[in-house]
Amino acid sequence: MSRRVLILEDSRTQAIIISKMFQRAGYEAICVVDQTDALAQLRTQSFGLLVLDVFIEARNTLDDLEVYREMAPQVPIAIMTAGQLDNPDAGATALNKARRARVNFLLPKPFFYDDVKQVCEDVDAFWARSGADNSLSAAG
Amino acid sequence: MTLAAAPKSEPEFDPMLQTAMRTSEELVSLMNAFFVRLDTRRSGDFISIADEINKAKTEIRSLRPQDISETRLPTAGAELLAITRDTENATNVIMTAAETMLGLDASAPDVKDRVDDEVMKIFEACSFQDITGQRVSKIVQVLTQIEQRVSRLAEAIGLDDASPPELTAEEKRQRDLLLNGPAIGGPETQQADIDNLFSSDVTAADADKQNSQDDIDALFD
Repeated sequence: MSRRVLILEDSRTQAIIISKMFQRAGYEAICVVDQTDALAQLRTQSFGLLVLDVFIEARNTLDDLEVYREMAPQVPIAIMTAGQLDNPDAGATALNKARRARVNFLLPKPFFYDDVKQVCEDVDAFWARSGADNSLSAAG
Repeated sequence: MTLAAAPKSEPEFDPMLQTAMRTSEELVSLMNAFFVRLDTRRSGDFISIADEINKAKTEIRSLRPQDISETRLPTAGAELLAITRDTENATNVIMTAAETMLGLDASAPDVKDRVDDEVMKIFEACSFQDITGQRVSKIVQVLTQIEQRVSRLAEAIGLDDASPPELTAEEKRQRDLLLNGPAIGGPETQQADIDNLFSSDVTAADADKQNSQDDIDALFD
């Protein structure tokens, strides 16, 4: 699986910061600002990881997780959120909802390079295991 | 002997007095209508004033002044403090990283990795921008609410803006010395104007025509 990450983030500055962290961790980062662009990217190339922000304009990405899973089966998903100042519970609610939806990684903002590095290591390990399982299945 | 009661007769009034009394009665009758009209108009005025006061009180109540002073303004103040704190922290991290990079030995074999580490710290420090955007939006929201409420009150009680108050000496000094902070959208005085003023092609013959303090002051008025 390619070491390419799709980052859904509607803040341009945040998208740059996050993509730099993934690039430093050895990933190619593709940033998109909304779901339409994200799905367009998923149609044209494969990704090793999806990093999705929860609150994108008026949408809640967690309500659309099934769409991403259909478009990119098996691809690990990381959910990031800074919450909402107007609604202090929104961040915790979103992270709990994401965990219940069995996403692979939770990244509460602000997060740092060490967090991204750890996620990347786990993703690499996931694909390594997945590759080994596939090889075993093929051999069996 | 029985004395027969003397027949009662109308008291005799002085004719002048009688005339004066009749005139007074006519005057009272005329004034009565006037006073009735006057009372009605006055009471109407008072009712109208009372209505206006009630309307103003209702409007002031709907402004929820306690909500503004006890909740919204303190929240906005706390957000501003948080922005100042976050900005200061980020600035410190960025300056420290820059200083570390300046101090690196360019010939060291790991210099690239160390520069990358410091640059990553700079990127991480910029993460505060996300929350700051939300904080600023919250402050703008509070200001907009206050503006709307005050405008509604002014409209309801029919207030026009009074002429602006005279500047105090301190305010004039702040204005003249440009101590009111940066202007939105850039300095009011264009750099080109300043450059022209200090242009170096002034010859000795023009020395007496050189810019006086007044010319310089005029640029900033």
